[in-house]
Amino acid sequence: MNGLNQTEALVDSHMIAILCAFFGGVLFPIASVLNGQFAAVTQSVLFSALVAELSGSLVLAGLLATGRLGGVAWDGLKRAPRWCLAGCFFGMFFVLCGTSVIATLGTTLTIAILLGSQILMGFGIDSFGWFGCDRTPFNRRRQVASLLILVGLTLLAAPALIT
Amino acid sequence: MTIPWAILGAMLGGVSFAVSISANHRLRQFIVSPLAANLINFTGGFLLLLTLFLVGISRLPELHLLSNQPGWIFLGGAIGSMSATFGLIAIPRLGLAISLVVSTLGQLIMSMLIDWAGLFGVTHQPVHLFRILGVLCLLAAVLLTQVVERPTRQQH
Repeated sequence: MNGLNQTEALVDSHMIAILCAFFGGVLFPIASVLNGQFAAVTQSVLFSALVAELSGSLVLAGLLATGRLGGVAWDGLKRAPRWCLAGCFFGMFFVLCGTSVIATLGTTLTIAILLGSQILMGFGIDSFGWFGCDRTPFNRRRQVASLLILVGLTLLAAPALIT
Repeated sequence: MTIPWAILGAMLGGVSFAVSISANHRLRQFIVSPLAANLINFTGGFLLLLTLFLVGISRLPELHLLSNQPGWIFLGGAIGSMSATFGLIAIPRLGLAISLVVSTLGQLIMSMLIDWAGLFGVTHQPVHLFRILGVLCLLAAVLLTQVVERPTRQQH
């Protein structure tokens, strides 16, 4: 059974789905800020990331256990290329970076840089077809989008860099 | 940490996230469930960090420092995983492109609100013209690639 199809049954309203996407976005910077605050209090970015990864795992395991968000083909893990599991390392590194810098840069600049550099890296991954992705050329739209990202990040970072 | 180093750190974080998403996307093709792929990602990250503490590379902080803190300070990881889950719930109904645009809008609006209102104990930062223009540029970039063009990946 396809996990996405099962998930679809949860939201048959377009408006609720939009609210879910928006709310998912809203929660992201809150999570980053709380991880940053936790790191500031404990003076340990690594411990903050450890607690974040553990609590995130527990919530996801709980949601999966309800069985309402799609089935899992666990035997597929045996067939998956080993490098897929390296995603854990990069996911952890992402949490560490976000947690380390948010107190210095503030929420908006941190989230904007995370978002912008993620999209630019995504363009690179697509262009070269890395990590098993289909190749997508770095076309004119992507070039303009890259320029917009660089201009946007410069506008956001300039006041902090000047002062 | 100085601002240029922090900017570099955030850029490395964003690049890592893109790689993590690609690996997750590939993993999902084998185990079907995007939620389970996220669970493996979180659990693997936890085990890697736990190893650092177990082998003594990093030490546990003084836990009494947390005793006077509000309960919400512990919720970062849980809220982060809920953020990903809400995104996954929306994608089948809205499609990847619209989900990403709406999610980006939510991220940027909430970020500015947190800074402006000083929520969760962060330092207040005013919303100035540069900030609004910068956010609009990012949103335009996401719109340009995710709505005009067929997308190829999910964010979370």
